[in-house]
Amino acid sequence: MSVLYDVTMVIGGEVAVKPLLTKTLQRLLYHTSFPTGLLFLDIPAAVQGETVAAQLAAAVGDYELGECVGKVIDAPAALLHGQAELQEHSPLLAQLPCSPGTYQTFLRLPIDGMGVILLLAPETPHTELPLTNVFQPVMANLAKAIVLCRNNEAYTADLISERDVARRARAVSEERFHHLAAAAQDAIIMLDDDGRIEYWNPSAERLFGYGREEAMGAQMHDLIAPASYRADFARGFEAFRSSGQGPIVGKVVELEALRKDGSTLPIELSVSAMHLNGRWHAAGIIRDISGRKADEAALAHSAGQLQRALQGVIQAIATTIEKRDPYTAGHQQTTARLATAIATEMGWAPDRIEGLRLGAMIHDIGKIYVPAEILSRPGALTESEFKIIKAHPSVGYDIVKDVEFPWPVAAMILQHHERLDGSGYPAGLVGDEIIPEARILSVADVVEAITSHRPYRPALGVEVGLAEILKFRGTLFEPAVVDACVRIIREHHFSFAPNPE
Amino acid sequence: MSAMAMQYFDRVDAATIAAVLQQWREAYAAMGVLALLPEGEKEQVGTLQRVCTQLDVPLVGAVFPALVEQGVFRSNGVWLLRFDAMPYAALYENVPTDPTSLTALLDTFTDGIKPHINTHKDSTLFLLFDAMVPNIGTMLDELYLRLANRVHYMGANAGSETFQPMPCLFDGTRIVSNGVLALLLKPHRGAILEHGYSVPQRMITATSTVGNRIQQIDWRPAFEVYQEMARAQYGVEVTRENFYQVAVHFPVGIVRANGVILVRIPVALEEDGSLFCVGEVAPNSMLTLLQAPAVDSVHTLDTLLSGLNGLYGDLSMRDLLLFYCAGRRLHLGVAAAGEELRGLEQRTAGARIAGALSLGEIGSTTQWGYPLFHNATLVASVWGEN
Repeated sequence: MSVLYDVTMVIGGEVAVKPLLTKTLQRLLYHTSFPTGLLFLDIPAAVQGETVAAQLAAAVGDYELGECVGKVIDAPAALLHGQAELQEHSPLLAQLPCSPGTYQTFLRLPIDGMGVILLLAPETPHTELPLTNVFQPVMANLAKAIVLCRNNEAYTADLISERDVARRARAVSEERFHHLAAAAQDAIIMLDDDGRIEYWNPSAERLFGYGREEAMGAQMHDLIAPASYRADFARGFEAFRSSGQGPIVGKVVELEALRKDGSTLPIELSVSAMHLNGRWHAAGIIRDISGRKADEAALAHSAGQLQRALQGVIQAIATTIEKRDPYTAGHQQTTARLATAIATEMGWAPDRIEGLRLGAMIHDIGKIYVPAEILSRPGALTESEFKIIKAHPSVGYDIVKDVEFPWPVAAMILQHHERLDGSGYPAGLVGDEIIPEARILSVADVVEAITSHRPYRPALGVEVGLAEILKFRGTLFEPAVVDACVRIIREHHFSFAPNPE
Repeated sequence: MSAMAMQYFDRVDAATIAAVLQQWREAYAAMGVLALLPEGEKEQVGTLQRVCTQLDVPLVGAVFPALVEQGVFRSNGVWLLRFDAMPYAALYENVPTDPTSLTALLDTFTDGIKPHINTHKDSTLFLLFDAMVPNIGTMLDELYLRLANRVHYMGANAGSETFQPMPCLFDGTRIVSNGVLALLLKPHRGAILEHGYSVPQRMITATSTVGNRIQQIDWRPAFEVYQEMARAQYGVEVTRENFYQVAVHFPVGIVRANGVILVRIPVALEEDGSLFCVGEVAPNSMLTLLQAPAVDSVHTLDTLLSGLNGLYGDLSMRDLLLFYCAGRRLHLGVAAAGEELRGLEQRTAGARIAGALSLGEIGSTTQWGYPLFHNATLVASVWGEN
C-alpha cells in the first residue's frame, strides 16, 4: 500500500482539475505499466441501452482517444459502470473510438461516485499486486480532490471574471481617453516621475511641431520650455516627484512655450498630479492662447481709446464748469489730484484711483444749474441761495447717472458732501453707507476749498484746511482718509499749485 | 536492410570510412548514418562530419563512454549504422528546465515530428540525450502526453562516464551539449528494456527531491538514511570518503506498484547530504536500496530476448542495437558485465550486435508500455527492421 503514497501526494498537490486528472493517470500508468489511461467524469446513471454518453475528461497514452478529451463519447455502459475490476480479452474495448484491436485488457477503478478510471493495455501487464483493491484508497482521495479542484476553479473563474470586467472597463476607459485626447484641440501631455514624456497627443504635435516618436521619452522641459524657465521648472519638478505638489499643480497659469522651430508662443497650462504605481506623474493640458492674447491686446487698445475719449469729455465738462465759475477754476482738478494722492497713499488699485480721479474732475458738475451770480458773488449767501447751492450734488447726479462709467462716478458726485456722522447732504448718509470714493473726495474737497481763494473770502492756507479735517477726524471724515491726507501734505509736500499739464 | 547495415571500424580513418559510405550509397541513394563513438574518440567527430559532408551523406551521432562490439566493450573505433533512407532527425541543444521554455521546445519538437508519423502505425521515437540533461523523465512524460501511442519509445544517454560536461550529440555540422537527438525510425516496433533487479523488503520514502537530487529520505538528510540502510541491509559502511567507490554498487531503486523498479545510481554527494542521481526522482517516491547480487543476469537476458522475439520473431542473423548501462557495468563489475554481453551474443544465435555503454536508458519493459527513464538496464532492438 505504501507504494501508492506518491500517487496520494500527487493528488493532494494539485489545485486544478485537468492537471489533477492527467497527473493521476500518469502516476497510475507509471506504477502499473498499463500504457493507456482514460478518465470519465459525471457519468450518467445506467439507462436502457448498451452505451452511455459520457464526457472523457482525461486520456493519456492513446492518441486517438486523446483527441476526444473534453468531448462526450458513447462508451459501453458495462465498461463504465461497475466495481473495480480487471478484465482480460474484453469485447467491450472494441466499442471505444480508437483503433480496433488495440486493447485486450482493462482495469476499471471507480472514483467514489465521481466517475471512473480505465487503464487499458494490449495484454495484462505483469504484477503481483491485487490492482483492483490496491487503488481504492487513492480513488477516495481523488474524488475529494476533484470536488476541491472544481470549487477552486469556480472561485478562480469568478475572480478572473471580475478581473476581466475590470480590464474591459479599463480598456474602454483608455479607449475613450485616447479618442478624447486625439480629438482635443488642446495639447495633452503626460510625464513620468523623471519628467519624461509618456503621452503626447496629436494637438501637441501640431502645437509644438514634434511628432509623437520624437517626443515620447524626451525631457519635456528640454523640449518645449524656453531656456529662461528651465531652472525654475527643474526645481519645481524635483519637489513634485516626492510629493505630487508644486507651485503650478492644480492651477491654470499663463506661460511662454517653445516650438520645434525655435519660435515661442503664449500658452495656458493646467497641471494635475496622478499617483500611479507608487510614483507621481504629471498631466498637463496646454492651450495656445496666441489668439486670445491678440484679442486682449486689441481690446485693451480699444478700451484705452475709449477711456481717453471719456477723459477728454470729462475734461471738457470740467472746463465748461470752470469757465462759468472762475472762483472755482481749477478746484475740481486740484481736488482730483489731491484725492488721487490720498487714494494712492492708502494703497488703492490704479484702476480704482482712475475712477476716483475722473469722478473728482466733475464732482461739482451740478453747479451748472446754480446761477453764475450766486457762485461768483462775494459775501454771505442767503438761505435760499444756499439751498440752491446744496442741490448741486443731486443735480450733478441726475446729469451723469445714465452715463455707463466703469466706476461709481454718479455716486461720488451725489455723496461728496455726505459726512460720516450723517450731518452731510443731500441724503444724510452714515458711515459705510457712503462709498469709499466719496469719503476721500469729501476730504480732498474740503481741504482744497479752504486752502484756495473764494469769492466770499481769501485763501485760508493749507494748515487751516488740515486743522479742519483733523478737527472732524472720525466724526465727519474717515480717519484713515484724514491721516493719509495729512501725510501726503506734510510729509510728501503735496503741491496745490495748478498741474503743469 | 542488409546484414551489412552496421559496420564497426577499429579506428576512425577517413579514407576507410569514405570507401564504405560510397559503397553503401551506391545501393541506397537516400541513405544516412548513425555514428556511435567512444569517449576516447570524441575528437574524431570532425573527421566523420567532413567525410559525410564531402559525400553528401546525412550524419547523426553521439559520443558514449564506450562501445559494445562482438561481446566486448571497446574504447576505440566507431560504429556506423546505416539508415537505408535517412529518417526524420532533429538535434536540439541546451534543453531548458523552466516549464515555459521546456513547453516551447516540446511544441517545436512535436510540431516537427508529427507530420512524419501520420502514415505509420509502427514508428519508434529514438531519443539520444546528453546525460547532463536533468529533466529527461519530465520530457518523456510530456512527449507521451503529446504523441501517446503513435510511436514506440526507445533511447539512451550519451556523454562522459565521469559525468563531466561534454558536447556529445552531433549531426553533419554541429556538436552540442545538454541536447537531445530525436530520430523517427519507421517502420519500427520499438525496443525491450530489462534490468533484472528484484525488490528488497525494506522501503523508504524520498520525502524531498528536486529533479535529479534526493534531498531527504523519510524527512531526514538523504545520505544519513542511505548510510543506515547500507549498514543494516548489507553490512557496508558508506562514508563521504568512499562514497564514489561504494555507492555505485548500492544504487537506489524506485519502487512501482507492479513490483518493477526503476534504478537510480547515485553519482554525487552534495554538502547538505543530498544524493545526486542519474535521472529524476519524483517527490514522495518509494525507494529501496539495491545490491549487485540482487541482479539475476540469466533472467534479465531471457526476459530481454523473449521480448525481442515477441516483437521481431527469430533474431538469428539480425542486426541488433544494444545500449548497456555504464552504471550497471560498474555495479556488476567489468567481468560480470562482459559475461552478460557474451550471454546475449550466445542467445541471439549469430545476430550482429552493435551498441554502446550508456548513461541511462529509455524504454519500457513491455511493448506499448509507459516510457520511462532508467539506469542500470539493457535496451535492445533490431536495427533496420524491414
